[in-house]
Amino acid sequence: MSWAAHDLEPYLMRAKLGGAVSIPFLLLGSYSPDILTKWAVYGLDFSGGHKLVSDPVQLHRGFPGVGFTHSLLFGVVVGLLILWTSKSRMWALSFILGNWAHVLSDTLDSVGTMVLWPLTDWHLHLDAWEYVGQAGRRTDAIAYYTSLGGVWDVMWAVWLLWNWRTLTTEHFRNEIYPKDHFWHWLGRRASESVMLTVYRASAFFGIASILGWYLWALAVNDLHAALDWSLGGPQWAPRIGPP
Amino acid sequence: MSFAQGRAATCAGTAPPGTIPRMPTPSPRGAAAPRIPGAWSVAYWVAAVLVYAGLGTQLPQAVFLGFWQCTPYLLFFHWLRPRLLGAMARGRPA
Repeated sequence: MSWAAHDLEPYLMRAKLGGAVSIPFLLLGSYSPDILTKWAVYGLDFSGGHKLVSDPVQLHRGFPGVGFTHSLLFGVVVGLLILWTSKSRMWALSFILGNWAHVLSDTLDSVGTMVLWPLTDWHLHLDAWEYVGQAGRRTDAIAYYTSLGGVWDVMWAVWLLWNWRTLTTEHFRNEIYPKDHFWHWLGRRASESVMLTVYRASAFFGIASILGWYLWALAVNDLHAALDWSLGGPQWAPRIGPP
Repeated sequence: MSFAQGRAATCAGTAPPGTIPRMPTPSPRGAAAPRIPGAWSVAYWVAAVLVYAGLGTQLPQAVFLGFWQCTPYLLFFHWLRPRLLGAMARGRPA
């Protein structure tokens, strides 16, 4: 799985596609595959010791399970529902693009995603790094950030910082707010500080989590605190393939 | 149409189709809210990210590195920014 990449990809899509897409719905689409299951995959505590399901991989990426949320069709179906209820093509397109970015990013790990479900439950997996979600949040963080997964996150973070002006208040006022009715709806109910918090939350969390987890994986914890940028790494992690 | 009028019309649903009010741009010399220098703002947000990441690393049970969990801290940082940097900007020579 990818970590902060899911938080940062929507901002770069918005920077490249401009007013054709909506940041809140890009983010909603990007979070949608994991939003109902990540807590069950990791367990409810920090250590991941309190497992809620016996086979987190099957639940998260398989079928039976909710692996269908990691398919291209899921994004289209929910996008059409958004179009039907809101009549906003921008919101529907944004949800689809955000969801597809998540689905395709997750093909980089060893479990991959059922991109063509329901036609087939075959998983596209490119094996750039090992899927370690079944070991709990803490061990997964160590595995992910010491492997090429961490490099993937850093790439998105550097790209976002290169486009740092997209996060400024001025950019929000002149470029983001006028082109998306979501912000007008929110602006009737909340202050500009709240709107800016909503707008920046995912970027703030993404950058902070990359820094924090790298620090934790390499300097604080004692388990495999070394980088392993080999393809399919880290090599100490158990080999997990598609369910 | 001013921003305030446009926003009021949008809220009331009486704005002409296609009319989207622009947010007002703050005056560079506004007395009530002095313009915060860009470098200070960048430094402030870098520090905010480092503080949250550091607390999340050192006190993971209390300051959890999670999306929903980060929002109160981010709201606090937005609240603090004009109070901290605004006071510093007011102290600068014109």
